[in-house]
Parts: sequence; structure tokens; C-alpha cells
Amino acid sequence: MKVCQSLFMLIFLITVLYSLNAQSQQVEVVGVDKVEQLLKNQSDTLHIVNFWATWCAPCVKELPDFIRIGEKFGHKNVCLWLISMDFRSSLETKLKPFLRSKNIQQPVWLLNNTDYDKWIPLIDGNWQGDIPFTLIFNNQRNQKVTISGETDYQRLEQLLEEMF
Amino acid sequence: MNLEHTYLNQTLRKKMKGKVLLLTTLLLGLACIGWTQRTGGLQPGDDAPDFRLKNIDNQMVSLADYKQAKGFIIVFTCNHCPFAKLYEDRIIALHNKYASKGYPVVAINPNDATKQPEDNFEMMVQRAQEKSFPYVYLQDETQEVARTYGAARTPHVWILQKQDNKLKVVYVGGIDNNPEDAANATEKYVERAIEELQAGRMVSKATTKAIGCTIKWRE
Repeated sequence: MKVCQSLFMLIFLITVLYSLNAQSQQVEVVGVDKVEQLLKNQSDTLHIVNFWATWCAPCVKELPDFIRIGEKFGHKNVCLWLISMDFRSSLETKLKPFLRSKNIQQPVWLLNNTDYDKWIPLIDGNWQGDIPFTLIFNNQRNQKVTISGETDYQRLEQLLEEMF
Repeated sequence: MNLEHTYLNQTLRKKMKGKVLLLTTLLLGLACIGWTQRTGGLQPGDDAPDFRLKNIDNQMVSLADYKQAKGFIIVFTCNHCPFAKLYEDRIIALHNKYASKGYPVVAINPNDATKQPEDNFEMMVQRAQEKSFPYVYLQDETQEVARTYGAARTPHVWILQKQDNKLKVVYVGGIDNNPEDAANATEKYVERAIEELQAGRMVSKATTKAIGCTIKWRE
């Protein structure tokens, strides 16, 4: 009986932990308006906005660096936004399984709008549409840096230290 | 003596003026080159230079080889990029629809094969055979063409039109506004541009932006 009880407890614990884990990988499906709002944010916060997708190899490669940077500067009013360009239809089949497999706990937005010509110019006039693309800004301090293409931890760290 | 001296001074001044002018022109030229690079290569209205690149059949291809063409649909694309793959059938359809009307597709793979082995020449040949590409698929091994044109991603399109024996850029951008599902694209940028050219009109939307894979530049 005792064995049975402990086995039950174990299964119960695993289920709870698994569901907690699954919950922490919430992806919010957003429209362009939400991103525009974020870009207008006036608080004294340094926002790091990374446009990426699961199908984009260089994006996937640099994701852990962004997460480490977010953690390192987390106490300094730094906010990391991971905005996925994956299609809405691949939310359950690709994006969520990907986040689970990489154990990414950070909240992720899926930008559900493929009419790129309409919204890319609203994000940044110099952005041609190639990803990865990253915006780092603090509107209150009039700071803005864009990174077109790949970056890495060292470059991000240097950039952020210069901005503080 | 005095006269001679003034004369010498004048010629010297003239020479100096010439040098200053030359220097200014050079500097302006350099500034212009810098400007084109900053604004992302060839824009609508610019003259497009020809190139000579190796096709999947090992033959060298230039735009000048197409004597009958009225223009070109130049597509920077590649094997590996999921977005480029999504557009393959549409690029084939564009060629099948417009090559006979004078606007063939010229596909160029600009990616560095050492960085992205799936984009090497052998894989290009293989992909072209699998999909029976009806157009040339050229390798931009030195990446010079991509740099000159200002290609940033795959797929990235330049439409050129022959005007007075020159090739003019008339469109730069994406193919349509729905990469996931061609049937649901509400705007077909390349098709509309070619239709407008065929009707003798200006291209109404000469630039568009689209998502794509970054070009894998050689380091």
C-alpha cells in the first residue's frame, strides 16, 4: 500500500510540475497595435525588443544570449520582449514545443500579422524585414539602438553598459 | 619679371583650383557611394548593373544574354530559408506567367556556403532538379551582386525594366503579403508591378518590405 501511495504522490507531483511549467510558457498572440504601444512606452525602462522566429537559425542561436542579458540586467529596469514572427497556425505545433524544449520561461508574444509592408515601417524605418532584428530603447532618456542581424552576449553587454 | 611672376602665380592657382575641384568631386563621389550603401543599394529609378554568374548548369549567365527580354524579375533566394521555400512555387508561377511576356525570373543565391552548407552549389543543383525550376538559378559566390543591389534577405526582389538600352530598377521588395498562404494574399506586389509595366504605366507601389532570412555574409 505504501509503495502505491508514494507512487501516486510522485505521479501527482510530476503532473503538477509539468502543468506549472507549461503555464509558464504562455505565449500571447498580439496585433501590431500592442507592439506600437510598447515602442511608445515612456517609463524609465530600457526595453530590449527582439524580433525572431523558430524557423530562423541565427535568431534561435542568439536567443539564450538575450535571456542571459535580460537576467543580468533585470534589476536595472531592463525589460526583454521576445516577439515571434511564427505564423499563428504554428503556435501549438512549433512555437510552444520549441519554447518547452529550450526551457524558455520568458513571456513571448506572437505577432499575428503577415501584412509586413504595412507594419515593418512603423517599427523602424531602416528595417528591411530581415530577422533577427532588435530594438533597444529608453524613450524617457531618448536612447535608441537598432541591431540588424545577429548579435551576441558580449556585444549586447557592452551596448547595455554604454547605455547605463 | 613681375609679369612673369604673376603669370606663374596664375597658372599655379589654376592648377590648384583644378586639384581642389578634383578632390571635391572625389569626396562627393565617395559620399554618394556611402549614401547608396546606407540607403540599402539600388532603389527604384537607379540603373541596374549587369553581372555574370554561374548557373546550375555550369554556364555563365548575364542579363545581356536575354536579347528579347523587356526586363527581369531578379529574386535573391536560397535553398535553406523556410520563407524562401514558402515562395518557391510562387516564383515558378511568376516565371511561367511572365517570361513569355518579356519578364523572366533570374534567381540568385547570395548565401555563403561555408556558413550555410545547404546553400552550396551542389545543393542548388539538387533543389533546382527536385522542383524543376524553369528559370536560371545563379550562384553569387563573391556576394558582390547582392551587395551592389543591396539585398538584405531571402527572398528579396528587384524588378528591372529595359529603358533606352539601360536596365532601370522599377520595384524593390517582397512578392506578396501572405507568405504562409498564396491563395489568401490580398496584395501581389510583383504581379501588379509587371501588369502595370505591361500596360505602359508606372509601378504604383515601387517598394515594399517583407520578412525573410538574413543573407549569410562571408566573414
